Amino acid sequence: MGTSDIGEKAAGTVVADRASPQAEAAGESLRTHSRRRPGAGRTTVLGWSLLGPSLVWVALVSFVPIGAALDLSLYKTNFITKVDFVGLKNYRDVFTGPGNIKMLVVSGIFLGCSLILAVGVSLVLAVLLDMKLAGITGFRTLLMIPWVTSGLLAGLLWKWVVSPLVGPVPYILSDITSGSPGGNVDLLSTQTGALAVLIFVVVWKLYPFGMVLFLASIRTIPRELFEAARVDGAGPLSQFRYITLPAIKNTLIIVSVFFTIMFLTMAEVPLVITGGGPSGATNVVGLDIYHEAFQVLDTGGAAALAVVVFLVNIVLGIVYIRSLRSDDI
Amino acid sequence: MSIPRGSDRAGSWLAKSVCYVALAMASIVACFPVYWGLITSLKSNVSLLHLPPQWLPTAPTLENFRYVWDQTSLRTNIVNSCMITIITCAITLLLAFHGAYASVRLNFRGKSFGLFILLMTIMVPLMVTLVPQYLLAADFGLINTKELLIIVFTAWQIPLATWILRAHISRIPVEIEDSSRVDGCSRLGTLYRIVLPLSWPGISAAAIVVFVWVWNEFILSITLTTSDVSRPVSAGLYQFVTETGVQWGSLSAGAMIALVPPVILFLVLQRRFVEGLSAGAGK
Repeated sequence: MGTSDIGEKAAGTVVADRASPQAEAAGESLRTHSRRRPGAGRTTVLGWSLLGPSLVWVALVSFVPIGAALDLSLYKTNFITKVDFVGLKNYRDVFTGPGNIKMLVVSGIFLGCSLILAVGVSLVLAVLLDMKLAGITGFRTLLMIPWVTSGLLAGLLWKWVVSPLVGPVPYILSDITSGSPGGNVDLLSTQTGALAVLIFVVVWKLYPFGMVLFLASIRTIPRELFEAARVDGAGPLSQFRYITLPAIKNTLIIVSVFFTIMFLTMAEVPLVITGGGPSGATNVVGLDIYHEAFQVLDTGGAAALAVVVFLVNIVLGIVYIRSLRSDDI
Repeated sequence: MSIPRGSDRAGSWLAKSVCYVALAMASIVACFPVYWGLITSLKSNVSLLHLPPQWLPTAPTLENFRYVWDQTSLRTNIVNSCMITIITCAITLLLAFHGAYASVRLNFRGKSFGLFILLMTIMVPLMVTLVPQYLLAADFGLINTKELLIIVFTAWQIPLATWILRAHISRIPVEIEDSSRVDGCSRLGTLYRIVLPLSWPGISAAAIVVFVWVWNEFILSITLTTSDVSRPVSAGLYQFVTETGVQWGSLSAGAMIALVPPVILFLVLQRRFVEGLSAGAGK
C-alpha cells in the first residue's frame, strides 16, 4: 500500500492535480480491469516482459554501482584500491572533516536560496504565461532557452558576462554604483558575490523545468472557478491564493523534489564558474563529491558523502510530501 | 495573479502591460548569455577584449567558426554526440514506452514494487554512482567508448521517460483500447496500432527531454571518456578552457555550433513538447 501509493501518486501527479471527470473514468476502468480474473497469469507474464527490460537495465547500471558505493564508503581508499576497512569513519568525516563544515553550510545556503528562487520564479512565470495574451507562445519559447543550453555553456557564458576584463555586467554595475565607466567590479572575487552568482546561474538554468510543469498544472484548473471568484469580488491575489495554490499542490511537491535533487547533485556549473572558490565559498556538496573522488582520489570519502546526499534527498522528499499533501484531493 | 482568462474589463489593460513587461524582462535575462555568446563568436580575437564591451560586433568575422571547424576536434565530438544521443533516445523510448504502458494498463504481481524501484531511481543523485560506475566500466574495459555512454545515459533516462509517458498514456481513454480488443485485436496489437499513434505527443516530449539531457551531459562525459574517440561535444568544448585561460572566441563559436541541434529539435517539436508534458491538460 505504501510503495504503490507513493509510486502511483508521484507518477500520476502531473495528470491529476484536480480529478477531472476524464481521469475519474479512466481510473474507474483501470480498477474494474484489475481484479483477479482468468488470464491474470498471462497478464503477469506480459506485464513483466514489457516492464522487465527497463527494470533490468536500470538495476544493472544503477543499482549495482549503488551497492558498490555503499561498500566503498566503508573503506579507506586510494582511488581504485581499497586500503583499509574503516567502518563508519568516512561518514563521521563528512561532518567533522576539515573544511567539511563550511561545505555543508554553503550547500545548505545554496539549496535553500536556489530552491525558493527557482520555485518562485517558475511559478510566477507559469502564471504569467497562462494568460491569454497575444504572442505568448513566443515568450514561452524564449523562456525555455536556458534549459536547452548545457551546464558547461551556462557556467562559462555567465562567467564571461560578469568577468571584469571582458564582460558587460561589471561595466554596467560600476556605472550604476560609482557613476564612472570602466568596470572592475569582480563579482566572483568575493565569497558572497561568488555564491550569489552561482545561485543565480543555477536558478537561471533550471527554472524552465518547473515553469512547464506548473503551466501544465495551472491549465487544468477549470475557468469557472475563477469566474465564480471574480463574481464574488475576489481580486487576482485572492484568486491565486485560494484557487491556484491549492490546486497545484501536488505539482509543487514534485517540482520541489526535482529541484532539490538537481541542486544537491549540481557539480558542473560550480566546477566551471569557480571551481569551488574563493576559499570554498562555492564548494557545494555535488561539486565536493566530484572533487573528493577525482581530484583528491579519496573515493571512499566521496562515496560516503554521496550516500549522505542520497539519504537527504529521500528525507527531504518525504518531508515535502508530508507537509504539502492534502489527502482529500 | 490569475486574472480570468480572456477578460475584457477596462482595468485589465494595465495588468496586461505589466505582464508583457515582466515577460519581456524575463526573456531578456533568459536569452542574454546565448546572445552574448553569439556576438562573441562573431568578434575577432582583437576586438574581443575591447573595453567598453561592444554590444554588437563592429566587424563581424567568421574566423572563429572556421578555426573551430577546421582545426579542432569539434567535428568529431559532434559526430560522437549525434550517435550517442540518437541511439540513447531510441533505446530509452523503446523500453520506457513499453514499461509505461504495462504499468498503466496492466495489473500484475509485483508491478507496484517494480514501478517504485524504477521511479525511485530519479531520486538517486548521479554522484552516488559515478565512482563505482567508473570502476565497473574499467573492469569491463569500457572506459572511453561510446557504448559505455549509451549504456549509462539510457539507464539514467529510462525512469524519467517512463514517468512522462505514464502521465500521457493514462490520459488516453481506455474505451478506445477496449473497443479495439472487442473487435478481436490482441493486446499487443492494440498497443502498436492504437495506443502508439495516440502517444506521439508524449513520446515527443520524452524524446526532447532525453535528447537535451544527453546532448548537454557534462560530468559523466568528461569522466568516462579520455580521448576524442568517444568524447561528445559537451566534453569537447572543455578543451577551450585551458591552463592559460579561456579561449573565448573559439569557445563561443564551438558552443554556438553545439547549440544548433538541440535548439532546432526544440523549435520544431516545441508544440508537441509542451503538449506532451501537459499530458492533455486544457482539454
